[in-house]
Amino acid sequence: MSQTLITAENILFYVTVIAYFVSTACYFYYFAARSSKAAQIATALIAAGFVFHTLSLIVRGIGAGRIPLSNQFEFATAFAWGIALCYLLAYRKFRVSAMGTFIAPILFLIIGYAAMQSREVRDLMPALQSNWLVLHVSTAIISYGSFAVSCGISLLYLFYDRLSAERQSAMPDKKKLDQMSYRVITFGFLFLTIVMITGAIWAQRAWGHYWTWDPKETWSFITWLIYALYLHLRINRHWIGKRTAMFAVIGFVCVIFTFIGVNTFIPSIHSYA
Amino acid sequence: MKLLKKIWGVFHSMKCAIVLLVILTAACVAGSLIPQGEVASYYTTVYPEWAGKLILAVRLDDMFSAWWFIVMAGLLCLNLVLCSILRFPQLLRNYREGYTLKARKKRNRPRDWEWMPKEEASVRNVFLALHFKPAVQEEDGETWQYAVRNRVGIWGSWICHLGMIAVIIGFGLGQKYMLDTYVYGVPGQEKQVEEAGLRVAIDDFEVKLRDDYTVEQYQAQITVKDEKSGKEASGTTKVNAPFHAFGMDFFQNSTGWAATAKAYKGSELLDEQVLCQGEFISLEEIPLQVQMTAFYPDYYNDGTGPTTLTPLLKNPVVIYTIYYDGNFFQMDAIGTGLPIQIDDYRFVFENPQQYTLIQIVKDPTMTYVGLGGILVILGIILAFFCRTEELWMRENADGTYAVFCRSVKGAELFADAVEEALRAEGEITGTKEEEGEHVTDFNHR
Repeated sequence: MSQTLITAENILFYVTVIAYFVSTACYFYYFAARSSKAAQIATALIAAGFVFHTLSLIVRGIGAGRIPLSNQFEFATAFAWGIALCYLLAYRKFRVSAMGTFIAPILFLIIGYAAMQSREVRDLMPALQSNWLVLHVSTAIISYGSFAVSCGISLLYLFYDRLSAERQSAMPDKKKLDQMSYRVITFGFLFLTIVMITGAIWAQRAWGHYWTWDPKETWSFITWLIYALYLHLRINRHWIGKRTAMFAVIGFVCVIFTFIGVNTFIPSIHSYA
Repeated sequence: MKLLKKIWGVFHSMKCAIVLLVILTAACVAGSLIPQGEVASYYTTVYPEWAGKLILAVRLDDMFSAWWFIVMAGLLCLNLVLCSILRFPQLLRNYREGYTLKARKKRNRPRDWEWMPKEEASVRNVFLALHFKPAVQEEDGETWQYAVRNRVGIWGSWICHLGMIAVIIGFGLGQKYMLDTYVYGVPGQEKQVEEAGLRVAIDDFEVKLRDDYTVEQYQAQITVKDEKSGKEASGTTKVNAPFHAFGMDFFQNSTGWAATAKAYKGSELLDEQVLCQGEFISLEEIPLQVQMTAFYPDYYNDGTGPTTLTPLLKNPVVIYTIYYDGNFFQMDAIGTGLPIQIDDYRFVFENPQQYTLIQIVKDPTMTYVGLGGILVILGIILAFFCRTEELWMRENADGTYAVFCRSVKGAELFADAVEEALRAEGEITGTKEEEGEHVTDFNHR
């Protein structure tokens, strides 16, 4: 990767980090001071950060000569990109600024984690040279991004009763927040299923087995089971409200453990990721 | 009889499915956190004694093959099969007859809104704005407009469960009936694979390196001979691109170093073998064995332990271990071509080269598992993204309309969309609160 591209990628990446950080601060200010102007600025900053973020990924992809989804830094920054994308889509659909107060910090933490990883561009080991990997990781970004957004909405739900009546009147009621979280989870669940299936196909082509109970596989299966339980309990046992909001938060904790915890604490065939 | 009925009821209940899902989730967590497949002493030394004993007693050391884990997965599968069978007639009936104005009127549910349209075209506009195609129906002297969309969506969870059944059964049978074996060797060698009824000849093997010595690709050229039919097939196998022949896949799985080991007594050549790392050359005359323990192509040792500077054969060194009568005798490092002298006997390692390990897999259930995966995705799309939604209106004598809406999933957001469309095309003069608490329809299983 040429020095010019490295510099360009660095500048774009750090501008993105700053945009997300300032956006998080603006959302906090909006939440504390009830300033709708601050909310507008915060959303605009996430949108601007998303543009810079996309450009930084494109520049890295050009420099590396491949889609940059193959190591811990690349996946972490793409994960943050997925959260920003899903948030902007959810905002466009639901027009609820308050959810940004809970989603922007998650976005900032994930891109902060990315910033702490090695940014070195490395050539791919043979097992990673697969189009199935690209599909597998791309869908994981959308899935994880959706779960982050649903976690943010669910946190807003859990804090709802502590807000003043005036603040509550400026946002959707709890029933609607609950449904928003549910809709986003169904989207993430579909993509998580595709993640597991494309991952299984890739594993079959690379290692001869589509499922080996490797810790990363097992944890993505655990995450899938938790969201499957959420959907069954909600649709068939009428679990709604606080209990399902807690489930959405637990589900996202599992997502984070699958992404960071497994790589850090448990030896796995995915240790490169 | 009562007990049997009760057991039957439990087996196909949603409660049973949820309990099984919780148990399987907990088992997966334990199985991922406790190292799997270690020797028994590992668990009693690493964990407190009681915990180690517990792990071994309930097979947490081999969780995913433990009998109780398999039983739980089997019960879940049974639950899914029973539910799918029992739900089918109900779903079919519902699909055929459940989404009609008649069926909705039978339920006699309170209206959601009372609405006054702006103009005559407003009623149709509301339906069109929500992507419905309304049909006007006269019933009992009343004029109704009714529309339903995505009726096919009610099949979503059923299809998804069908897919899960295929995946679970396919995976289980695959574990039992799949062929999974391997051969390894250096170019020029031909190996028999008895389990597969094949002979595999390794024609060539290449490790493609980049300038920085990282591996770009492992590539083996192989010829496979079917012993039964006598047919042959040749091809290349690379990582991520297995060779397919005789219904089996041949994967370039692994590699390592091999060398030709020669054993002499004086000047007489007693034996000559190609040894891969970890293999032995043994003498018949005396109980002496020499193992090729490790190999370093570009040997370097700065005192912290042997390593290789590059993957190139610049300074090849073999780490060997000598056993006499089954007991450890000596371990040392020696350059290739140099003799290891033990009394009258002499051993030499020569011609180092990389060997390839080819994995041979035949899984007869793969197609079913793949089909199951596709069904699961299709089922989820139908269940959550083809939501069955209904909208119907009754014209009142005063020109207002009683408006009803129903959605199996995401009822609140659908109701919001309807309300927005109604407001755009007229005035809402009454809400559901006035008619009693709105009941969200759930899809009872």
